[in-house]
Amino acid sequence: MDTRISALPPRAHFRRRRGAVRSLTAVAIAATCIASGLTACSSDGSGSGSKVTLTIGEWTNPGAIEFTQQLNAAFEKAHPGVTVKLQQAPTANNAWQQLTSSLLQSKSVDVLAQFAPTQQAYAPSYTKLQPGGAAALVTAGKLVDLKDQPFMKNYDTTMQQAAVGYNGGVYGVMAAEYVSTGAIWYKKDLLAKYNLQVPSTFQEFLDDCATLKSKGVTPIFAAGKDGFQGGIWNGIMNQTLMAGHPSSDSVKVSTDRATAFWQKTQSWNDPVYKTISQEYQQAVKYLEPGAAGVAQLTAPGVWATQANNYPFLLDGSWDSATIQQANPKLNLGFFQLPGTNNAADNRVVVKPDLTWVVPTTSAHQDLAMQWLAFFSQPDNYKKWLTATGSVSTQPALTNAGLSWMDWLDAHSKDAFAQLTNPWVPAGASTDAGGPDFYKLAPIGSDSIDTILKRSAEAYQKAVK
Amino acid sequence: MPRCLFGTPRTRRFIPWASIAIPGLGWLLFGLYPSLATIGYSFTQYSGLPGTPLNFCGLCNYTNAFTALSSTVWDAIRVSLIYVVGVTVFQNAIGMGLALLLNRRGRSYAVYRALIFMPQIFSVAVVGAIFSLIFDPFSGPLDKLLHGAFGVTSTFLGSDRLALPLVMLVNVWMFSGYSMLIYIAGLRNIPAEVYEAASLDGAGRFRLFRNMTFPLLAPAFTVNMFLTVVGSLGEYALILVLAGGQHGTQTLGIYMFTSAFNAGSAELGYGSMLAMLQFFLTLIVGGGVLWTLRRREVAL
Repeated sequence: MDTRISALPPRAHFRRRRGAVRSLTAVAIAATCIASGLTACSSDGSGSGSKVTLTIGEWTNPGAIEFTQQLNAAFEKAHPGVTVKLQQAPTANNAWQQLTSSLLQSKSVDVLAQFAPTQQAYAPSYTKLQPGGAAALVTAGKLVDLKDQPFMKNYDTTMQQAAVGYNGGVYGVMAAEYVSTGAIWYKKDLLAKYNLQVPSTFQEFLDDCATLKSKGVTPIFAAGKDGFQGGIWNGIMNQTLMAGHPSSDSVKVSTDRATAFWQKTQSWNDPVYKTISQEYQQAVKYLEPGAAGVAQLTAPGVWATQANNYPFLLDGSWDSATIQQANPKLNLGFFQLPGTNNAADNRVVVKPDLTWVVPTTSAHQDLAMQWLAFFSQPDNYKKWLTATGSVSTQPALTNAGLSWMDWLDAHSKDAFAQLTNPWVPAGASTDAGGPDFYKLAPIGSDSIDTILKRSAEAYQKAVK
Repeated sequence: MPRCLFGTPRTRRFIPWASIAIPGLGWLLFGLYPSLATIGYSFTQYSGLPGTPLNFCGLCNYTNAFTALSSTVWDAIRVSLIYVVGVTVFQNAIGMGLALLLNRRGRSYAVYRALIFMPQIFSVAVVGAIFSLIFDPFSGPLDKLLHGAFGVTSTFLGSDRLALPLVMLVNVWMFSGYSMLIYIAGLRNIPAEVYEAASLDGAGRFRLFRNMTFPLLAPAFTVNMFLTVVGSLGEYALILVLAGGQHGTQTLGIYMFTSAFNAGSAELGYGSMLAMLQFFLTLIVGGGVLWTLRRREVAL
């Protein structure tokens, strides 16, 4: 038995009890405050005076983040009592993947950006491949079906189905798509200085490069350290394989190719890939020799500030804000690398990109839908296009009004969705997914035959 | 009744248990649980995204890695071993050299030691960013220096020949100061009388080092070698920031990280299997080094 308290003098004993009562009261008050705070947090925002925090997760892209912050401020103004919190992380070094996992695990995100999974993420059951990324969330029933939301009427249904559809549902809003493969930024003034036009065939592109080289100008710049030279190979490959197909066939062409690879009736060693690789090498010989050491983090800035050299930059069309921040005076243009010698086949290749999804764990789904509806309003969406340089996914809006998008605006009508790679099992060699541009000459030292043979063998081994 | 600072004798009995329980709980939550979970995940096909299914597949990831699929695992193990050998040898040689040079009294030597130790306190991200800029072939000073002095250029971290040695160089630069401090502590434990006796016997500087200093540094050598081997085997952040695992820099650690956490194609199950391989590799190499050097210490 503890005798210490009873041994205290009566006044001290009383003081101690009074202290204990005070502590209990303080704890009770704190608990009440926390409980009332939690009640306010779990409110859906419909009640007057209630406070709600809507959390948006988005990867760092300067233009997109700036727009989202402005949109959030406008949304807060239109919805008194609502605070919109933006969580962001760069995609570099898998930081975005980490943030996504944390937000989903803590069930603390209401609207989340995801890369559009496309239909290729759902491989047939005979492959025994499990979907990854957003597709894994879709198949696990962790994303809200947005198909019947009124704001979805603003978007092209077929395009949304292809990007983020599954079993009749649409599990996100694909809000941005970019030219990713064969995407070329160019300096309009530099081309004009040498009386050159934007090429419409592959041979014209090579001729432009040859002319520039003869004038002492290095034609092409790229972040070779991060594999951006591969954009040339993939650009040529997309247009070559889609030649003669309507744009709407791109999902079918991808699926047919993936099936043929899996069934081993096609391989990386086929003549078509040899031809594509030969054309790649013809173009890459005009690349800056030191490009292999240039990181994507610095490439757009370095290119933008060298006004009299490097007319062409291999980079995705998402980088307009970065380039223009580095050199606001640059007269910037953009075009798709013509990958074949038939101009009609050289259509724009777009890649579905940022897709807003609403996790089923969101505590504020109604408010999340209101935010998406607000985002999708044509006025706001047009600002989004201007800020990001995205190709529009709303049929009613075809032109963002950006000067560098003049070529894209004129040529996007027949754009097709970028072809996806054959299905590759987890753990397969990277060579199985296609040629390794780090090793292919002139960046690396391996010949076309070596590279394609290695890829073909790796794929054969992977699907054995 | 005697009163004390930490309560009654009865409550005081719980203080040691509480002292163990708090860090113990931390270890259970952040050490043991993730380790056990990693073992479990290595037998599954799992994307790693919360809420997605965890499909048990037995040894599928292990068999895929070694039989059905790729040579990537073997390549990664080979690169890891090259990295470990290179970093361990150079970091210890430089650390020991610096320790011999700077193990003197005087304020200026303290400043030198602090400067050499300083890179250790920088975060990997800062060091990675600094050296990425230094090695940039366009805006970096190293290319300009090479071009100015020898008329040659290089792509540095974009070169298949140079990327791995350069990453190893940065690793050695960052952690040599740490090795130096351990060697200095070892040097200060060697009694001065030993050197005096050897000098009287006519031993020169090289013989003093070979026959006295190096054998008597054996405990510090063992600690340094073991820490460097284990540290460099587990290193992935510096490699990721500098070279991203490209151009022949894909160690097992990098391969594990990119497999487990790559956006859009993350395979936590496969990545966990690679983490298990990394664990066994560390156990074999680190354990082997420790066992060999301990035996050497006993023999000395």
